[in-house]
Amino acid sequence: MTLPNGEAVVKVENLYKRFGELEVLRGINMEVDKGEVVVIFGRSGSGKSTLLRCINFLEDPTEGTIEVSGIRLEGGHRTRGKREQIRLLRLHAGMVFQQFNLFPHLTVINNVMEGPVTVKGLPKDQARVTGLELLDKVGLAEKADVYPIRLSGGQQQRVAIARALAMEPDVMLFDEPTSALDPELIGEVLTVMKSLAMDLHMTMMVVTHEMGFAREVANRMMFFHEGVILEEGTPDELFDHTRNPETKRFLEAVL
Amino acid sequence: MFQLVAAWLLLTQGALALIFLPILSLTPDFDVPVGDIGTFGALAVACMIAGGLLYTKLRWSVWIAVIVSLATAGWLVSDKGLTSWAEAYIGVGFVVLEVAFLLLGRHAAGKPEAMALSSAHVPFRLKLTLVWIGIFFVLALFLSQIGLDWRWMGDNFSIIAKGAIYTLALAVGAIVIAVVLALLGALGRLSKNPVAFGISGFYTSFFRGTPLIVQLFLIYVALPQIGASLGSRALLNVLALSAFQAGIIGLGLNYGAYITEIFRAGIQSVGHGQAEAADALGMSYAQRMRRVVLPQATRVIIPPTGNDFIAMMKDTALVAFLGVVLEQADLFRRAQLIGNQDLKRLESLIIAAGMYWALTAIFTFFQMKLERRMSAGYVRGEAQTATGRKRTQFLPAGPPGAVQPGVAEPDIELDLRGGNVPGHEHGGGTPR
Repeated sequence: MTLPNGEAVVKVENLYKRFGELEVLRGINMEVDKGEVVVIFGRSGSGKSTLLRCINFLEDPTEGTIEVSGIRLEGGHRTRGKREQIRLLRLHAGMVFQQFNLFPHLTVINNVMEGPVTVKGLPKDQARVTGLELLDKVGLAEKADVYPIRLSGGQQQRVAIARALAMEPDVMLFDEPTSALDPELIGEVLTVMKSLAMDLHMTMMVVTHEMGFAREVANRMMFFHEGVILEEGTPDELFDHTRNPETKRFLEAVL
Repeated sequence: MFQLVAAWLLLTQGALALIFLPILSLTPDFDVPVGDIGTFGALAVACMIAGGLLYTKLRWSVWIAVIVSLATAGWLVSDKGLTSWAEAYIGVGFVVLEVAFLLLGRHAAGKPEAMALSSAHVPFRLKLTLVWIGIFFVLALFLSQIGLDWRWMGDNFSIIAKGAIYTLALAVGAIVIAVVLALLGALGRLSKNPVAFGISGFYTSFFRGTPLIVQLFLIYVALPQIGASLGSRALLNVLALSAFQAGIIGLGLNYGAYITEIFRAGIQSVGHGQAEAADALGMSYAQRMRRVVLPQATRVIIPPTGNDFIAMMKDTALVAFLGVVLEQADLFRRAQLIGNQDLKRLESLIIAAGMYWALTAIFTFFQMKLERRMSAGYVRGEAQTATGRKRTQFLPAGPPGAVQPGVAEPDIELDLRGGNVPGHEHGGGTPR
């Protein structure tokens, strides 16, 4: 899917998500333009992960509209026809999970090839070539034939990034990609993410607490608080010139 | 080490003799006077005491052991000893071994630490083998004493053993049906579709809630009645199954219900994150099941399903009650028919039992192999088994360039945190 620069890859309109009585998202409106890196931060339970999961329908939005790469879907009950639409939408949104969720029964290269081969029907040898290129990009080409259990957490997460990239998504959704990692392994994952943003100009939505990364890479930041976007702006605006007391308190706590 | 073997031999000999004693004295055509049997028992106890002493108590226990051994041997070969020369030879053979080992390893007598040390050097497998040999030895002695008609057993072995083909055919046919039903049943149990959920619920409830033998008779005897009462000749012909066919279908339906629960649990054991990862790649439900969930569930499913298969192999004997003809009869049915005909029930049933046992032993062995292979991608390096034995190198099957355990790999963590499934690699357990 080719979109002209400046056009929104992700559009979220009036998004609500409730789990029973609990209202996790309360009317989110946002757009992410092509090539943009948006960092979403906030306390746990503020709804930031839920937003990402609603965008590729791992959670069904209670109300609202999601649009990814021109595929526009309403929230609410999941119907038979919608299921296929959701599947098509997911082809454009790659997801990286906090717990990596690599397939343990497949080797690293087979993890990366799984999507292109099974979902897109690519021939295996072709998928292997691109898969190896991607593994090279995340610095793990020599681990191609190893099972994930033999990799460190940081290596597993880099494979997970390569697996998502293999589907050639228009936007990458990162759901706390470094939160499950030991401190000394965080850097290698952030480096890969940085080069994704800087070198490949990948459109990215990143839920993270890594404020150093945010300051360096983000075009825009959003502070989530109790299910709404409380404040939004460039890193510079939020880090140095925020006037919102909640944002200020949070940033002081993390930095 | 030698001392240890001698102690074992003495203990085994004493124990065997004590087991042997009541059998001997109860054999009707055995006319040894009571006094001699008493001597025999006393010598057996003496052997065990000597063996025990060797382990711990006295420095000169070695000489006690030698004297006890020689006395036992002397008594056995004397005309007051055992009835048959063959048995006396076995006893004397034991004694020769004992004395040889005692003399070779005299220095360890009465030193518990030395004994324990030498015991630690003997591999567990070797000890286990010795135990099994001992058990079979006793079993053989027992069988030799109960007056079996070995000639008859030799003559009729092949015709009974041929039943193993039909036993296997029943079991394999039924397991194929059962696995297909179980997969459908499990997907139904996990489905949000009320029809699928309801049908699979009814299926597991009914077939787990009624006895297998009743189900077999329902299918064989009662099913044709449906055709008859509907007055449909064609339906009657379809429903009137042979006992063999009814057996396969009945076993398949019954075990399918049990294995449904195994499959359901196996599928549920695959972490939710796996399904989400598959979904996020844009997989359909079928793709997600086939490529991600089922391959991982299989690992969990195989051990209990293998157990059920082995259990079922034995339950095929129930099909005999449907009255299968001899040409298609399984092991048990053949043993019954032939044994009753010649009034050799014990002999024929021993053959059948041995065959069942052999079959299950073979399949248990293959199941273990399979489980080991399936653990690729789940075990990192050296794995410890339940018995505390070390099992080396649990490498992922196949791909070259896989990292060898033990080779320095600075960026490999040593904990298992990254794994999605705990390193469970020995779930076989014993078959029912």
